[in-house]
Amino acid sequence: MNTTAPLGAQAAAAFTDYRDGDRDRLRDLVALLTPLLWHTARSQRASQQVAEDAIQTAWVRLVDASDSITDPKGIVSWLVVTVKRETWRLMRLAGRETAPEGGMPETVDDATPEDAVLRTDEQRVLWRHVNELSERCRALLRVIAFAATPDYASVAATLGMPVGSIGPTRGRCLAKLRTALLSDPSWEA
Amino acid sequence: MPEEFVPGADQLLDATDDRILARLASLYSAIDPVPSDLLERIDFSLAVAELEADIAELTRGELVGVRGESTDSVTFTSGSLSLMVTTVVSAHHVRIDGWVTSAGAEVDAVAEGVTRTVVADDAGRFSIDDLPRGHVHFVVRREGYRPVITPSIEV
Repeated sequence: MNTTAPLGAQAAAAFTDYRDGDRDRLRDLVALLTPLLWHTARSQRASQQVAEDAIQTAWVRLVDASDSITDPKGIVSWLVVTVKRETWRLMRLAGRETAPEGGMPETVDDATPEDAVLRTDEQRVLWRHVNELSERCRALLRVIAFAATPDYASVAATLGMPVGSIGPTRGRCLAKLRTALLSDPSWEA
Repeated sequence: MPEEFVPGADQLLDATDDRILARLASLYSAIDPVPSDLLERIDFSLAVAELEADIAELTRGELVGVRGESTDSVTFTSGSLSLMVTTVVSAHHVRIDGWVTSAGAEVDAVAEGVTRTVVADDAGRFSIDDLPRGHVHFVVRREGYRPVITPSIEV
């Protein structure tokens, strides 16, 4: 993540500006955080439709609650938790029936993506090692990959996997992936 | 379930971890990208929520079309209110000629990064010049009613 400021700080700044009356900053906030929220929902095996609905609902709730949010720094975690809960709720309602759409794997975990999607050898190597991990680890890493490093700890904690009380430690999932990659001669990151 | 020991799990993140996470983000972006119109739809839902508006339905015409250098009309309806807009498209800009079933209503045309507001005349007619091409939606305000918001059309 090559962002200059941490995601949480950028989000807090945009949200504060929005609450001070600059509506365009809400668009910025949506553009900034929607990839993280998309992968949060999809990592829970939500269908595309459920993921989209859950994310829209979370944003509408944020706007409805915007006056009562006292700590703008907490909105990333707030949105992640809201998307996750709403995803679960919608999946329960749908009886977890999630049909594949248009030939694409319904969740990434269900199938090996086509070579057409993974363009580089590096991506194929990474994908192979990711698939050796437990589903829980895949879900966690998929989400924190979209949070810049300083936000790693708080996002992981939000997902129920605290990664250290002192600083953002690597955690078991990333440590496993890292070890696997670094001992694979075809990986040279 | 006992936590298994994984070497390095308790170490602080370093630049190699950052690189792995960045590659992982690219990988998932390639495999399962955010749908291209999701941001647009979130923005619309938020506009509706913020305005506490009623949503008008498209009753005639199409939301997305290859319009080129042409003229096209769409009609939206919400309760007793109808709004008809005709778009006249040139290379970079769009003119909107509109008619709303409520004389003196205030009409916003909301395009990317720009909002133009006009007041319909006694016959309900209005005209908006010089909108950028792209998505545009309309908000109609009348005294004593909730605002009415239309879905976006592509112009």
